[in-house]
Amino acid sequence: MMIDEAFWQLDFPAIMAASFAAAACALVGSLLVLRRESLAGDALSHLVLPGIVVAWVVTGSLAAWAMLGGALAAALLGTSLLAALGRHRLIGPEAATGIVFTTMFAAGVVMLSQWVGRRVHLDVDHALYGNLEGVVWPDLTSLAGLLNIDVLAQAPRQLPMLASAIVVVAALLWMLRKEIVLASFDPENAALLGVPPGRIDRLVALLTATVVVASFESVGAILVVALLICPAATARLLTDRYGRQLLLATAIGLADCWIGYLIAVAGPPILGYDLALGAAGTIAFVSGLMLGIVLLVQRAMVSPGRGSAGPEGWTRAGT
Amino acid sequence: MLANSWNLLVVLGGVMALGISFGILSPFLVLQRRALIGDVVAHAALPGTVLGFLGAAAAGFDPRSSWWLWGGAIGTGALAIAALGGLERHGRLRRDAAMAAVLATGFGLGTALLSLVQQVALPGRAGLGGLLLGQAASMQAVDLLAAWAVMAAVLVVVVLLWKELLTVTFDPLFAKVAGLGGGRLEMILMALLLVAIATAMRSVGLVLLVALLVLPGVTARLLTDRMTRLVPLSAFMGALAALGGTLASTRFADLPTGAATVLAAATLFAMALAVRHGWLDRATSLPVRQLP
Repeated sequence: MMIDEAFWQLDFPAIMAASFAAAACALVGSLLVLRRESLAGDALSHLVLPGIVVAWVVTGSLAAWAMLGGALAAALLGTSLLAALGRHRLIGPEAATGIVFTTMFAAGVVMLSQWVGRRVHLDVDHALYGNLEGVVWPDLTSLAGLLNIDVLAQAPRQLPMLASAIVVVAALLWMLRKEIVLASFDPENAALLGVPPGRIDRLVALLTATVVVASFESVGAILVVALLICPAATARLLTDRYGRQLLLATAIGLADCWIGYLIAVAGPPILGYDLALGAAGTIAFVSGLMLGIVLLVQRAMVSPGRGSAGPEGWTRAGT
Repeated sequence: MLANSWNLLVVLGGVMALGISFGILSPFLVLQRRALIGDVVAHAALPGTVLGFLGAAAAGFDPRSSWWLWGGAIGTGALAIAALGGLERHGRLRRDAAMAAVLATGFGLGTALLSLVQQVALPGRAGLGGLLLGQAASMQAVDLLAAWAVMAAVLVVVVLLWKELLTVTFDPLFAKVAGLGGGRLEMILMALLLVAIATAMRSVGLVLLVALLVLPGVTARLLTDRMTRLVPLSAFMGALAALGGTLASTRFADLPTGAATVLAAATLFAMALAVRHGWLDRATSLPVRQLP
């Protein structure tokens, strides 16, 4: 990969979008992994589809606010349905997840096929597979461009969207750190101390939905699921402390992005093929590979039976 | 969407057979509280399907050949089940994290490979586009045969191993103590699931087939407490949803069969929920006037 004008216009914004998404996802993903809600990312990334379609049909625009609004509304509806069905004695949380996300996704697909047809470019495939290569910044021709206000104003819209998602998520996690940790590890005690666990549950669901939607357009639903869970799970293997978990997950997520992007762009040419792998998919695969490598190394180094998985293995120090 | 009656018959027969297979497997997965294992396997089968396509092309066969696609899908699907087991046995990661990680990793590899396929000119690569949402209309006679073979296999195995499956489902500890071969039984169940998913990928689509693995079982569970009724009822729900979805997709242009089938299954579920809780009785009975 050469550092030339094309790098700043094409590769740099794509790497930035992936990195921003990785940072936002790692923070929320750590929460999901700790709260045993890892599949919420997968569910939310599918069930927001009808919300986005309805928002598009109603407002006629694909602007960020319309998509975000529709998606958050669908996320609220979906999570309430999920909670209600999950509490049902005969259904349970896992089956409820399977029911709600597939049904809402199917509804979104049907709406797309009936209302939108093939006339416009509201592509399910793009939303799911992600189109990192579509994040381009024609005005940015060198590193110095990042200091130029006119160039910054022309940034691809995914970048400010992702940046604001990071700010919102980080700020809320910082302000509510005690409440979130308490409600996640000890819901009964939290209720006694005046922190309603249900409200924290909804907050986590909304944060997840925000990150998923902000990342949707650039990295796609599946890379979001990978970035939410794989770095956080890798960090979970390495630390028992909440604060370190968040920092480590972010660092691992960023590393996954950069390695994955490099492999996607430079891998096939090194092997002599004039092709490129899809960057979003490659990053997702690399993040899972990293988890597998850490796991295998750890298993080779640590004698079996030592690691404890329960919340009892956690210390609240470092929060 | 479906041009002539022969096509319609092939699709109807195929999708209904898949609905029955999934309907029979569904209660076991739902009752074992791992309804989403199909979600993981289906996503992880994507890279295998693409690899099968590329492998067939490289070996000089028709890359559209269903056999290569199925072989690949079963291969990476099995890898995913093994990886899931490995992650869980490690102990530090919980099952939900292991499932999400395997799902995303497998699907990521699949999409990366798909983007490769789209850059090389191979015949039939357009057929891979339907893996996500399914293209029931593209079903051929061989797909129909496969769907019926899978249905027959599922039926035979479940009937022959009925007692063992019940024991493993309701009392896994006893099954272990009694030496009912929990591990082997588990493998048989997963093998059935793998084959069913591989054959359903192209017609129903990998996202939506998950619904057919969850909804019929839960719907039937709302209506009965007896396993001997639950499994046939679940199979019936699967078939009914497939029938409704396929017929609906012939009525409306551009309506994807897979999505329509899922919505049909969801409607049946909502109706079962209403029956179970007596909402229908309440809604249809006249309001009782309160005396002042």
